[in-house]
Amino acid sequence: MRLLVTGGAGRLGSELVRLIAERGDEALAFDVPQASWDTVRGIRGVEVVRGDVTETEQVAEACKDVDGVFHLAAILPPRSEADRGLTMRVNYEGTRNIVKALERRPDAPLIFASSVSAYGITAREEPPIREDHPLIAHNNYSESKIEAERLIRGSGIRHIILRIAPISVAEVVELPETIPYRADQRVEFVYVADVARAILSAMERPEAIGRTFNIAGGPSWQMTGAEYIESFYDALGVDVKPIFSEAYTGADWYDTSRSRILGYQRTTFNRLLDRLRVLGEELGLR
Amino acid sequence: MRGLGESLNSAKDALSRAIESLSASHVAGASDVAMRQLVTRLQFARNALIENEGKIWLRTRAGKEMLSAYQESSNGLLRAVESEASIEEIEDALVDVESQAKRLNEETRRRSMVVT
Repeated sequence: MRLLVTGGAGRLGSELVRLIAERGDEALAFDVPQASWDTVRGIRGVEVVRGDVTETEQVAEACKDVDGVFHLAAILPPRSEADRGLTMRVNYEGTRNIVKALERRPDAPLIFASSVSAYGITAREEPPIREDHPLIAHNNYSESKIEAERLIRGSGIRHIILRIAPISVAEVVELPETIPYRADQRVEFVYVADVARAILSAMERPEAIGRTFNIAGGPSWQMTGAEYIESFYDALGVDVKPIFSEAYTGADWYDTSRSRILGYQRTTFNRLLDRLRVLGEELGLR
Repeated sequence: MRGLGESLNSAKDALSRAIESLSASHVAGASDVAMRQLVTRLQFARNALIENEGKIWLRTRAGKEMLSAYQESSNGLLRAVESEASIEEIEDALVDVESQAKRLNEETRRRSMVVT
């Protein structure tokens, strides 16, 4: 199979591209020329396509002979909040270009990486948040994802929508000036490799077509913002003084019972901490 | 390899002294505009250090190595400035420092927390 991954050089995209290549399929990693291409360079079975999802012709060309598209390319927070025009152009109009290109390839499904931030600020509601929760835009990013979802659902193309929770990696991650959630807020992350697995698995399940799934880490990842940050950096062996958001933001605990058919929740939070401890030793932080 | 604080302070100090020296004197054969551009580029290189000094990844072995390289480049630049080298030699040394600054900024960008 020949599979296109937009945002293919990104952190999640490169993980997905590697997974596709490992199982012997052909992966087309589509990303902007200025992306960090080191992430996919040299992986056997990966074709690099430098392009921009906002360019209709480039998207049409990239989608020409593919058996499916994983659309991950997006402007993410905090950058999305600094430039609404750019965010809508890339996240919404870029999606429109993909949809248009796939209208000419009715057999090739679109797996769209949406976000749990589409649910709005739910911190005062009863968790977990299910897929039938209303979609409420609370910033540029969530607005762009909600609009893109609407466009896909109304297009008639074969599609699967994945609302992905914040992604965690077993790496040294710099703290932003302000952590984008409250210390006492419910948060649920999901491990990057598990997300890649969920995305690929969705493509293989005909019963997933036309459906929307929450993709999050599961019960072991459900905690408060302070618990997450303290555990993460403590495992790494780094003393940090985080400053948390004073306002609630779009993070919560999510119902992932529907998405369990995708068999992706393989990394528990404790396993992440184990990996961080090993990494901390290797890097000389512990 | 030196400690994190030592490399950082030494690199900052070398760049500050080079800025001070270039601001107070004139390199033979260089126009006023070229001198001002040189100082501005040096200030950018020093700012990269200041902006990144609190980053967690700098505390790793790889981070300390990168800072050590930054320190060497900065000292090389200071030597060029203090030995009254030609504008071309100073620019060559500055390009080296700028490439270190670029690496520093790129690594920080790569490690910034992303929330979907």
